[in-house]
Amino acid sequence: MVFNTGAALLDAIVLAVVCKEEEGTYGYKITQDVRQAIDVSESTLYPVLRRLQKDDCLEVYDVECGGRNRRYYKITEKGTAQLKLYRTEWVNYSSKITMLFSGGETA
Amino acid sequence: MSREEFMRQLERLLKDVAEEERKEALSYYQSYFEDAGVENEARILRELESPEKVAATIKTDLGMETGPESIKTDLGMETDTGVFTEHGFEDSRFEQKHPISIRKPAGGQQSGAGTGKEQHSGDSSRAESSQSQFSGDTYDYEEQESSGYEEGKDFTYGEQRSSGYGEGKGFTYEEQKSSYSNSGDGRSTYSGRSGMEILLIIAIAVITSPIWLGVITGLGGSVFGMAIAAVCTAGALYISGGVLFGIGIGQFITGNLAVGFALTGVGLLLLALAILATVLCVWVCGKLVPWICGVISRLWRSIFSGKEQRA
Repeated sequence: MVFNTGAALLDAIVLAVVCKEEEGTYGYKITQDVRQAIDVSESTLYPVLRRLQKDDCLEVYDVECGGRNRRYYKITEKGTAQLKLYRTEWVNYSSKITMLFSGGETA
Repeated sequence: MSREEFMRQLERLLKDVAEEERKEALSYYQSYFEDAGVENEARILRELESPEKVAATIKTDLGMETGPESIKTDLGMETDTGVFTEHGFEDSRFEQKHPISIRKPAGGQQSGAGTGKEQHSGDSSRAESSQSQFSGDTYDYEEQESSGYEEGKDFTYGEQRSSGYGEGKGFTYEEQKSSYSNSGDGRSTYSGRSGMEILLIIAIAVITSPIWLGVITGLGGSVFGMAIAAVCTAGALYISGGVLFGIGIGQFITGNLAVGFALTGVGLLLLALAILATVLCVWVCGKLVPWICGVISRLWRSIFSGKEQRA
């Protein structure tokens, strides 16, 4: 893709992906889900998840699964609020760009 | 590289990271591999590229410096060099294909991430604080967008330009070479010295012989003298050390303990000095003399090399 995804947008996408799973989700699945939208490499998301966790936007818990622990990520209240902000801001941003591209009415 | 090998290397590379962070990262990638299943292992290993890159990604996010200092100074970048893109953390230090990707604004992503983090943590009033977080992040986002895009453009440009340049250089070089060999037809001036030059050198050598003969003789004499002196000193020291040690032992036997101690001590000291002198001898004979001979013979050859080649 021509356009790079910045840190804020990546945060927003990850939050959105995790938000969809009420029971929480895990690293590999998050990566696969994010990849449906943008082309991220396997190593991209760990720092993002770790940062969101430290910022209390995500909480983690371990679930025993097939004889080993699987780390699950779940969105927190703060994360939900953050995502809400990202969403509004994105609508704002993208609609302006779309308007510009389509050559629509210039204010 | 196998998955086990990858994890081992990653663990080693994260040695200087705080225990908690290291454990987190390792368990994340461990379970990542497990969740992906064996069938995806090769693909993931390929996409992760290298443990070094993964470790650098983790460390950079923790605000740790990575990579050797020299490379950074080579590129003329004081601060960070990486940019977050959808392909992960992209660091010019890993892209060795094009060493001219310096057109990256300093203080790009990493500082952005840092401030973002600071803003995130320690906010109590949610609405207002997250608004400010957001504006901060958007700013970073915009900056990245442009820098990332520019970088991408630079990359293709750079490569095209450099390859074109390389070709051009190769061509002119070839041309120069051929013209050079054409001009030097027959009597090449660089294959040896002319007879006049040799004669001149000999004449100068003969005229100045009092000077250089003196210098060479002096130098040779002093080196030879030094060698002889070193050998003699070593020998004398061995002998006197041995004798004193012997007398000391004798004094012990006769019951004169104080004198015995003093003499054996001095004897041993002299023996130590003797060994030192031996080392010096070996060094002079083994290194200095052959070196001087080499210098002289090289000098000799450089003067008469032309003549020999022509003959």
